[in-house]
Amino acid sequence: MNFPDFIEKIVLEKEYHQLTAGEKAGLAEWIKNEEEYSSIRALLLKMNVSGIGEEQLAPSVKTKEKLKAAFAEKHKEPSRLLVKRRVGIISAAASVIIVLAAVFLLVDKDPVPQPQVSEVKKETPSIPTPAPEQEPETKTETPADNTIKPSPEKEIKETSVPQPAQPEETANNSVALADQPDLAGLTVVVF
Amino acid sequence: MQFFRQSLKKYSDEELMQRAGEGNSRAFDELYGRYSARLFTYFHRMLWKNKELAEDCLHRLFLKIIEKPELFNTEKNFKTWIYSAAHNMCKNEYRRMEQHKNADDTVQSGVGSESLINIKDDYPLPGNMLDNKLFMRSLENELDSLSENHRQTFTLRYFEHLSLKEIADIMECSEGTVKSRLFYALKQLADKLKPFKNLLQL
Repeated sequence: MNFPDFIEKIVLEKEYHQLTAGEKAGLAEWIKNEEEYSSIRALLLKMNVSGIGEEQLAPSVKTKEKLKAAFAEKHKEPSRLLVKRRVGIISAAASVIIVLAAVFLLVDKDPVPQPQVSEVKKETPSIPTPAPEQEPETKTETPADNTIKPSPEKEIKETSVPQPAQPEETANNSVALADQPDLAGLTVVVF
Repeated sequence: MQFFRQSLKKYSDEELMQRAGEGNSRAFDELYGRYSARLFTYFHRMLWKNKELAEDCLHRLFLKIIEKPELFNTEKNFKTWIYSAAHNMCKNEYRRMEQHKNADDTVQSGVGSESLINIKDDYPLPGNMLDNKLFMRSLENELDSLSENHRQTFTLRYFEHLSLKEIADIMECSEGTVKSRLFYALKQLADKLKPFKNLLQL
């Protein structure tokens, strides 16, 4: 007979004289006689009634406080797992940034939009053949210290003059900022 | 806050232990709440009703959880594991006490020797409650007179309500051994409490 579950159950349920012959035979392995049966039964019944194991003592608050302090001390630095997680997140973010930067640079490699240059080119006057009479006039007007004059048309002429022999390609790339008074006279070469 | 506390109650002991190991203080609090009182009572019962010693053991046990959570295998049963640790701590205390006992025979004086008259004086309680109190005190006193293994087995079964398998795991023995120890303890106690048979009769 199974001890303790079945025997406990039967002992709690029945008095000795209520047991069947089969039950007595099964119990014989553990309980020898009526007296033993009765004393065990009384003990088990009383333990059940008394709520054995239900009454619990409470540890002091100090113990909990000490343990909480120990826990805080142990985990004041981020745990290894958290560090691993953070490193993972940071490396993933860095990878994304690198990829985005690479994509951005590739897209940015496109040449400077040509239409602007051509538009400016249209405005640039054709290279005039310098007239011998005008030369002294130009010389007198050109300041020695290279200060930029507000008259845009003349300046464009002067700056463009030294480059007549340049090939067409180079000429196309030159941008005259004639319509900007402050920058008039400057030629920007775009490579 | 109450909401979060309730949500933690859904977690198993094993999950809480894992989270506590990762630094989750609320998981640790929940575990402490679940086990501190019963383990303290267990230590108190097993260690000669010495409150200070029980308190110290409880502290050391939970400190182990804080300091070395990796000792716990999350695939195993937390309850069995923590009771095994508590059981081993009690065994260490018995060994230590044995050494002290050899040096000084008076170590155990006053422990587990309260008379029924004193209990009556200490607990002026009405009928049934006094009976129950008397019975429990007598039972615990008689329990102290049993051998270490029988006391442990009986306590784990009837006070801590653990299964035979759990007790076998904790005490590192077979279920058959647990059964025989348990029945022996039951018989011994029933026999020793015979003088209170009238009290035991319902």
